[in-house]
Amino acid sequence: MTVTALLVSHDGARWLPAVLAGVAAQHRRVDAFVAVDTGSSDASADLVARAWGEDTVHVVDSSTTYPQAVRTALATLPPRASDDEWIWLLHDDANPDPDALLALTLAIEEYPDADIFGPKLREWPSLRRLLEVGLTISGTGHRETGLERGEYDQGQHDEAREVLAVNTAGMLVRRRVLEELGGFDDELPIFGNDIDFGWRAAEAGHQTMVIPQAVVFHAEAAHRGARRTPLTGTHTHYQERRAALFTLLANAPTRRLPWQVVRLFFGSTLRVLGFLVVRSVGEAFDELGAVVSVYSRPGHLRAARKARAERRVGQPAEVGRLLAPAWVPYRHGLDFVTDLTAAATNQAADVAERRRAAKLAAAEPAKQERGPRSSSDEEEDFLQDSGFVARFVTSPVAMALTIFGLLAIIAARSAFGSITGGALSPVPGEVADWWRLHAEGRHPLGTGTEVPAPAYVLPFALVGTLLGGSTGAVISALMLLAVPFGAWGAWRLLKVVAHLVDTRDLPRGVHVWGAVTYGLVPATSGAWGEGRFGTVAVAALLPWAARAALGFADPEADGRWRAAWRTALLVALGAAFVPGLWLFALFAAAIVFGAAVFVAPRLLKDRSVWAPPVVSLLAVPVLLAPWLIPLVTTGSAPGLLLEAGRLPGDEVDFVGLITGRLGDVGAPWWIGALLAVLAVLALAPRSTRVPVTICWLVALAAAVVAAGLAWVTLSLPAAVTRPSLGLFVVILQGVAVTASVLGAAAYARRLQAGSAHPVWQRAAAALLAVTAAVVPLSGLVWWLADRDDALTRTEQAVVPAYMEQSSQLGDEHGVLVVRGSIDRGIDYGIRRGDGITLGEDEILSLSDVDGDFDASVRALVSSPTSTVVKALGDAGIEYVVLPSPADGTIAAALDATAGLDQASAEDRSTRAWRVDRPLAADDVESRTSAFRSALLIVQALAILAALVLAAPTLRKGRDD
Amino acid sequence: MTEPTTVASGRRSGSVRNARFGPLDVLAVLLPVLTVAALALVRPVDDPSELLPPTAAPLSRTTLVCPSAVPRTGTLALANADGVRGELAIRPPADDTLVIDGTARTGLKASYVAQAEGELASGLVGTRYGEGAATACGAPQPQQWFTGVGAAPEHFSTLELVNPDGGPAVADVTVLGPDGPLEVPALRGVTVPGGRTLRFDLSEVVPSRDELALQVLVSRGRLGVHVVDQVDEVGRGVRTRDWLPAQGEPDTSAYLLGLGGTSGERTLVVANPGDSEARVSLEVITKESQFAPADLDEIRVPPGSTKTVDLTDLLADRTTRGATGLVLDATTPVTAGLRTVAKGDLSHAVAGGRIVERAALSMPRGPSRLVLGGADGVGVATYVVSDEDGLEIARERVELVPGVSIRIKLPAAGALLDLGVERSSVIAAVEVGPPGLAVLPLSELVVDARVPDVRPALR
Repeated sequence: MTVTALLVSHDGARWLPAVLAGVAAQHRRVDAFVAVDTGSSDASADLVARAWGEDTVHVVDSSTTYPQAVRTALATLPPRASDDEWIWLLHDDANPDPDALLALTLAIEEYPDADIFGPKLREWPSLRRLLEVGLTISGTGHRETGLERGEYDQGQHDEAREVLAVNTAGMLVRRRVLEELGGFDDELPIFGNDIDFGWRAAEAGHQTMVIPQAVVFHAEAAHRGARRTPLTGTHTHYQERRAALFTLLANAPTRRLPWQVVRLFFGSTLRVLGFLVVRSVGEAFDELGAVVSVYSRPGHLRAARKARAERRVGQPAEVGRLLAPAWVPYRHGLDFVTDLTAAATNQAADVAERRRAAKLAAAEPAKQERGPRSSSDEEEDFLQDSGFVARFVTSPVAMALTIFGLLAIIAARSAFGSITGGALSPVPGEVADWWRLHAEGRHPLGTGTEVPAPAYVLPFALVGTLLGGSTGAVISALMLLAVPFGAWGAWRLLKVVAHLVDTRDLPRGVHVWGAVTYGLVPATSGAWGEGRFGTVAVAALLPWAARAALGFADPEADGRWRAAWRTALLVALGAAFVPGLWLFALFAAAIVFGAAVFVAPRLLKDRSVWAPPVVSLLAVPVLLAPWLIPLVTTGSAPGLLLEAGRLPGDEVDFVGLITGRLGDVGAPWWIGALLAVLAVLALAPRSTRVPVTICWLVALAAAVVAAGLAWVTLSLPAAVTRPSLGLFVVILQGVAVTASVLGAAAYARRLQAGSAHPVWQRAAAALLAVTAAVVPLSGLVWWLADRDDALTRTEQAVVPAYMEQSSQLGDEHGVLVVRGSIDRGIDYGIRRGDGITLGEDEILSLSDVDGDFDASVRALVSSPTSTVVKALGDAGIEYVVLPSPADGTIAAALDATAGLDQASAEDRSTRAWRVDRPLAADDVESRTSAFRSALLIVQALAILAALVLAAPTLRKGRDD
Repeated sequence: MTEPTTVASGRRSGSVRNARFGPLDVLAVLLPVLTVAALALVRPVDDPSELLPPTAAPLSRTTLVCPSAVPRTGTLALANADGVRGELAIRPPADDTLVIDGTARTGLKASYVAQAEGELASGLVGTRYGEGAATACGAPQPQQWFTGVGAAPEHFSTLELVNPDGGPAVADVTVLGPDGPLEVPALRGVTVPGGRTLRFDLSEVVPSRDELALQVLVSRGRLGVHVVDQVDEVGRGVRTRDWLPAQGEPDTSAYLLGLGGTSGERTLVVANPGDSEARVSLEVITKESQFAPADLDEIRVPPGSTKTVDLTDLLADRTTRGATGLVLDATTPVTAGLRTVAKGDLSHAVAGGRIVERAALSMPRGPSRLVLGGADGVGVATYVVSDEDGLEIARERVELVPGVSIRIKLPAAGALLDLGVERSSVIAAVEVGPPGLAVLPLSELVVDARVPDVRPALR
């Protein structure tokens, strides 16, 4: 048996001395040496020459691929004399353990059928972590080692076994086999040629064994980019993916080839998107380049397949058992999602913590003493559904928050199933209606309108589609989960705020109190009971948006930019429900920047400080473009000051703003008054007076804006109304909770710190604690007990059932509903399709009055003629209904009008007529325009871009 | 400060020690005050006005329905209160026209529909009259009350429903009797085909010896509704008939004007359509005063019922001589009618509507008197009488004083009465006769169409 060591080197002077020493130290001597240096610019060639002799080293130019280099080396060897000649392939960054060759040669005797042997590869320089113990490839081209990431070698894989392939670093191969198979494939210059070789060998009937007793330490210089060659370039990922695709397509059995071609193409496209999502643009392009490179040269593939087919022996199934199982790619997918989630939760973990870390890093390291913080994070334990039942049950915070969440859902139980009423219109029958509403430029509503669909229609449509097309489920989910979600957001916000103010965690009780009290705001304010889903949604989103905005204080510019996109997305989502959120954010930003001019003008010179907040606020209109731009151009800008939901708007007054109540449906006012008192008392502790004062500044800003808006009158076609002030109730409540929590935390710490507090102080503290506890407890009890809300299952039908059916036949089958009397005034509405549903109500309330149609209705109820009736037909009106109690005079006049046939109605006091004239819907029908499509595309791209930019950074590579 | 000192709070407490009231303390006091002050500026939402009154626009179309004739009342008088000339479309027969120039009189026994468009429509009035009987031709109303109808052989009424339009019309007739509402299936949901006239003899449909009240509610289409009342006391040789005028809405106060100068059998019928008992006090109004007769009890009308009071003796009394009308004051809205049979002639005084601005009447031929009463303040009424050619033959301003009534003799040659009221409102009726007596209550002249406030619905 002769063993010839074959070393290919390129710029490996860093590792070569150790490698050569390792070869020299082998307990089983190497019989002959041959080395190829591919144009190293360092002393690689000299080093090898010094160790192995000048004549063993062959220098070739730097464009030589690994397969070529191996072939060159083989060509210099004397002709093969026996079948027992072996080639030991070595890399310049692969250092063999002294026993490596011995173990491999022993294996030759033990496994006489095998022709290829590979060692166990361990990481160099860590030496303990396993890199490879044999190789295979998954259906998606992933290089499978069967090892966990960073797995330590504890002998757990020390069993020799047959594998598909082994790495060329340390591979011991029978020279005959190597030559018969034509060496390595030239199509795979650097990466992946080992798997391809193993696969070809297996196809040709040769066995590959991995011998873990042989250990080689591998630096993976090329893979990790530690060594650049003209062949790898900077795009190692490109080379690796190209190799993987080529290997799969060249070796796949013919019957599986078509499927493999399609699968790899779409799989790669998906990977491109995946890389874009995590902002790995370079890798996305590499991936794309690899697909294009392989797929654009079918000739190469055909030639490669032909060559393989000629050497094939036996059935493909024999190789198939060596390939990775089919489920492996899905496990990788799961790993990816887990990574993403972990990164998402970690990245925003705590601005305050990162700031402190940055500060400490700047300060002297001796002072790195952390405050007395609890090491366990209750919330994380609570939220990570990891089965830590014991820890969960023993954590009072987790229990309290869970019980609160359950009680909140129980209190909102009427939202199970369909609900409507108050500001909440009935939902449309299908999600497609929302998509259509979002897409179309002119809606078949009323007499046809170009007022855009409200911005929340898109998220509703998205969620509805995800929920299996159920529109009712969207509203149910919103109304059921808003309170727990808002509480969760408040919990996280308060944590960050507390850490920014103080190094310590909030006292648990205070933290839970704050989260629960804020979480209940949608319910106790009455927004929930009045069906004001816009205020409910914005209340749930506000703490999240605020928390994202605190990211502007991140010490890293990258963190601030991510915070910018997160804030933009959350503010845009909130503004989709209550546009005032964006306007208030602009106002608040103006104040902050104005203050910064005086306080810290230096900061404003740094672009990475001022640009993120500016960009986040400017991104909102882009994210909402299909709604915002047409809203302004159609003259419906008053919609910016309203909130989601149909009119009439809220009736907030002075007391309501102070106590956090929108109207009469909310919890008793004194509960809110207690919170206001607590917020005032929170100013007392000196240690937190600055942050509490800042809270009060925000409250003042909100109060000033609310006071200003209350004097604005919006003249809508159907009503004269006031801007919605629900948002300010939510903001004021949020600020009051935050201030109270900060103040209470300071009180609590002060009491805990020493024991020398007079009795009266302890009594006062107890009184305050009881008062504070009353706020959420009584709010929750009230919500659980109170059924006095405006929500019902279905709206009362106005129009007879047969007309409802008829109206769904087409846009021209409209039903004109005329209510009121001559003495008290008349109002009219047009029902088309399935009636005025959620989203459509707001379009209609902002649409301009169609003057001609208005005149027709006026004529219809005062002096109807057949001309008026014809105009109705032209406007797509099939029926005219006077709901009970119908005005007798109008009814009598309509009865006497030619062209109106009396139609039946369910009760006698409702009157109805059918328009006996040709129906047309030219002006009414749904239309879309190129402009609208452009806006939708802009929005889609903006959302995708913002999502990608807001996404957390994933760790790269497989090695950290 | 006993709390563990952090870097930040240590610095802060240090600065606080220097100044007892730093800017922070001032802010801590100022901010809540300013916030509450700003919130106090928040204006509560205006309550949107529920009531949006209609506006007036010139009437562009008027339909008058005249009932079919009773014997010797074959004359119709039609005029425009403003003297507008023009052509009326009349039915039957279809597509016929009648020229109005001053007052047009025409003889026709069948029920009659006159339709005016344009300028002529505003202020169109018409009357059917004859010996001792007359009734105004009115525009179809959605709801009307007839109080004091009979359904017995000696006193019975006939309900006439005229459909002026092409489509069908439906009327629901509610009959109230002394013991509450009567079930009359024949009068429930009566459908009158387009252009047709239906008559119901109440003595056949709902035979009863009681005094009844009818509510005619038109639920579909339009109907001209008239009631002919007939007293047929065979034993005494009295056989007389007249139209029973309609009352629009029940009211808590009612002025029944037009008692005539001759005493006779007088029967007051009060109907209470409400759900609770009505207590009605009765007063007599004369040229000099309005007073409650000494020996008259309060009338109690059970809910949903009628009550009949014989006032023959009361109104024949010396103290009530010169009475021109009755005044009813009720605790809940009621309807009322006073039937008089004097010298074998039947007449009715029913609660008339209040005239605020103007009333007009196409006058029957012969002697007639204008009775005014129930003025709700001191004001002025001006009446103008024109002859058949539209020439003014009488004009007078009379002062209206609450608590008294006025009876004015009108020129016998008059064809059109135009009554204007200023600074007050008044109840008015015209007594026609002799021969016999017919009372025509006046109502506000409809010159304007009421155009409702129209707006898109909020939801």
